[in-house]
Amino acid sequence: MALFSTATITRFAQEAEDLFVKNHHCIIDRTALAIVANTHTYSLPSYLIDVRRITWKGLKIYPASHRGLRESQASLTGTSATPYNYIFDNIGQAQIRFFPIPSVTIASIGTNLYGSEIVNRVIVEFYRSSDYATFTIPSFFRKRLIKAYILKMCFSIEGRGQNLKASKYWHDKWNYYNETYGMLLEELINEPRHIILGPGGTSRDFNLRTLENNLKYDNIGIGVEKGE
Amino acid sequence: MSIFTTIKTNVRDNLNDAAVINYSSSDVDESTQDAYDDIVAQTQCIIKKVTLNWTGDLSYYDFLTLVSDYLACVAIFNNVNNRWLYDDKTLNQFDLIRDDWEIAHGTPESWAALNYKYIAIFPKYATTSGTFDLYYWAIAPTVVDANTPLIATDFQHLLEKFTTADLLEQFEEYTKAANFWETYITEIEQFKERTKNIAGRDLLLLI
Repeated sequence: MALFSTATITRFAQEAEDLFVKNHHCIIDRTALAIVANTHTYSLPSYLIDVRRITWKGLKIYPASHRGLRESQASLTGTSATPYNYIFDNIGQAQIRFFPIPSVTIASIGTNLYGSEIVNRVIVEFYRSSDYATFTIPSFFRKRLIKAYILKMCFSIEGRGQNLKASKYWHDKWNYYNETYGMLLEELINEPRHIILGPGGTSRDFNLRTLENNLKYDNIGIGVEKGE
Repeated sequence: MSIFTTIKTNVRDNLNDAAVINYSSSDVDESTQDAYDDIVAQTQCIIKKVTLNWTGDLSYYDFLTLVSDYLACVAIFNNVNNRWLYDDKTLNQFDLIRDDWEIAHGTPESWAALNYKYIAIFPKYATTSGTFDLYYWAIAPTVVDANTPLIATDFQHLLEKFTTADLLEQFEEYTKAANFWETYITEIEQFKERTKNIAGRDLLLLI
């Protein structure tokens, strides 16, 4: 009889992926909302972690807080064909509210949300949790990362297979991969390359080895939060 | 310079398993592939080029689907106008340029990464027209025994270190494995530095 059941291993594999995605928001998905005239509140998918971007027929609409809207003294009952704010601070219910209230009906669709349908739909782009099949963490490190977590947890649970020394070893390895690949995703893959000299006149086409310690290069040419 | 067969032989020497008793061939193959995957992913030591078609009205290209060994984008060259796309902006900066940039049509000027899968192009061609060259960091190829690893010669021993440690873990020989990991983790940082600063000695300051 195996020391650890398939169900236990699967549970920890999924937990590992959830933990990594929670620490490093890397899975992005889009959905097109079915907008109904004179309806202000809409439900978002249950697997949503956070909203990244909402566009109304291609035009970006901006997040606001309930408090911000109250302070602006704007009417909450006004309607418009194109809302210019959304409120998403009710994360427990995964609902957003548009402001002003949409006065038009726009159908949903499931395809071409990264291209030709942007101009026709109301698209919510969001960080999501893994579904362990299609929307997963990148495959180039997934196996090694998940293996470390499974072993860390399997060796720590009560039963014949318990081995706390081994669990500590895999705990350290999980931390190493979690940090190494999290950093790789966040700082390397998502950051502008600065290889091509742009109109702003900054590139990284010089000797980083001698300059990195003398210049805060990260402060040049990046005017907003890095990687976004 | 070693081929994978030599590397696997060295691993078996490390494990005192030349007679293939404790570790099956598939175990060694799998660990070697893991080692190759890990080194190449962490160091981005393989850069490749592929020519792809511009797709009309597409704002985000899913390179992970389009290119089988894609790891991350390095640069994009537009073959239609023979120009490199700028790579100095983030998606937030696209928003600052115009808040409907996703539907802006024109000759592509900039790219920015959405995540490990999607790359945003701004502006985008309205209709399918021409090609572009994608320069990208690639994941490790499949290990073939007769091939030489696409890793700098003086760092190829990292494959042995990783594989040996990985296989020792199978028998819960953690103290022994830790010795190999220590070398691996130290030296892979050096290899990362080298790939980042490649030809740095010969570069001129362009600020």
